[in-house]
Amino acid sequence: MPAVTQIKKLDGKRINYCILFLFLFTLPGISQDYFRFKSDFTLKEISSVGDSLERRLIIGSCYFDNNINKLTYNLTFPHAEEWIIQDTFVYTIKAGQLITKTTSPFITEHSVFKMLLNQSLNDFGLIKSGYKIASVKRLGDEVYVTYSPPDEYSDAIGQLVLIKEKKLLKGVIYYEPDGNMMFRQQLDNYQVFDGLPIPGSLTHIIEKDNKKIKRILTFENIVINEAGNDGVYDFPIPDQSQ
Amino acid sequence: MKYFLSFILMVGILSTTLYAENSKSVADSPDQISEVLKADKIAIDQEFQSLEALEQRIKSENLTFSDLDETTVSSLALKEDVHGSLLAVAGADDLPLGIPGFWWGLCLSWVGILLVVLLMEDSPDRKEQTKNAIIGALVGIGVWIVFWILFWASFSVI
Repeated sequence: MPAVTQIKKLDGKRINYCILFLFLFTLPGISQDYFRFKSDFTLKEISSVGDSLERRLIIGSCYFDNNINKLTYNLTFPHAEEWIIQDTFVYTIKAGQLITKTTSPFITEHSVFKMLLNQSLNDFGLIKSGYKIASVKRLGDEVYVTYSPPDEYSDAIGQLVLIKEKKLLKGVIYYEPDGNMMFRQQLDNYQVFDGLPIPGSLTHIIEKDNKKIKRILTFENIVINEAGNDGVYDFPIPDQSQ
Repeated sequence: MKYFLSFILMVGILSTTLYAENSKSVADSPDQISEVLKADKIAIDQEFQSLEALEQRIKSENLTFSDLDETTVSSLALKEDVHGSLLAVAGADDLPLGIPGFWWGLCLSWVGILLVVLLMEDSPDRKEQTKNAIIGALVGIGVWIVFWILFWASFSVI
């Protein structure tokens, strides 16, 4: 009988250790869920095709709710109006009136706002897309990771290089299959909000054939996971008949 | 002789493998990429100076596009249509259904060209895609003519 009691005592101890172990093991897996992004933003763009050149400037605030996949732009320039993008629709609202309703492709996993909240900036969502790491090289503090597309798409899409510094994504280079550098992005001025690193500015350069687009997107007054203010994140669409 | 042939064979296999590895890798070295990005930053700082100044003025004076005078708008080639730019940031593609203009023209001929013109916002990209749709439509017509010539020619041969 005493032997049986000892076994039972040991089992009890083991169970406690197991529970403690499982708790400690699962602790890192419990990470904060980021679902709302709000910021003042400025988008500056210079686009050119051959000799023709156009400039665009957009100033306003943006509100994105990842749970309902809804993006609201509250613009002050070029015109004071709201743009709401949800599902496959873009609504333009001016002074409370619905001005236009057009179709648009769905907000993808590669939208800046989704990637910021899903913390997929680290690998740019590439691993999920089937890309494989081809090489890892270091230059000073920067690490250059080259990703190759899945074999079946290697004729259509090229390699991607992500540049990281202290685990933060600093640059993205996208190549066409023939080795032409088609897309370059630089991310600067990171700040951490509630444990989430957000770049203060993103610079894109897209070059294809004789077309060139350069964009600078800057964020200011960033708020993550804002509680309340639901009416802005889920901006009500006025009836078209109004 | 046997050793010599084996050596040639090994060199051949090795060089083929190396060639295959090199042809797979198109990405530049970190040094080259770093140089390109540094050059980008310098060029962008210069190119965006005028927009930067306009941004400061707009923010301090609370202006909208209609408050700007014609000289400012035309000297900067400033456009008020921002549809494509806003959608691009949202991660959406501005092409109609994400299909390039050439294929619209090729498959739907003049209807495809019309769709590209109507569905895309006024931008240099629309001009480019419309041009591609016209080329696509011409290629489609060419393929159609060749098909009918071959079709009737096959009858005459029979």
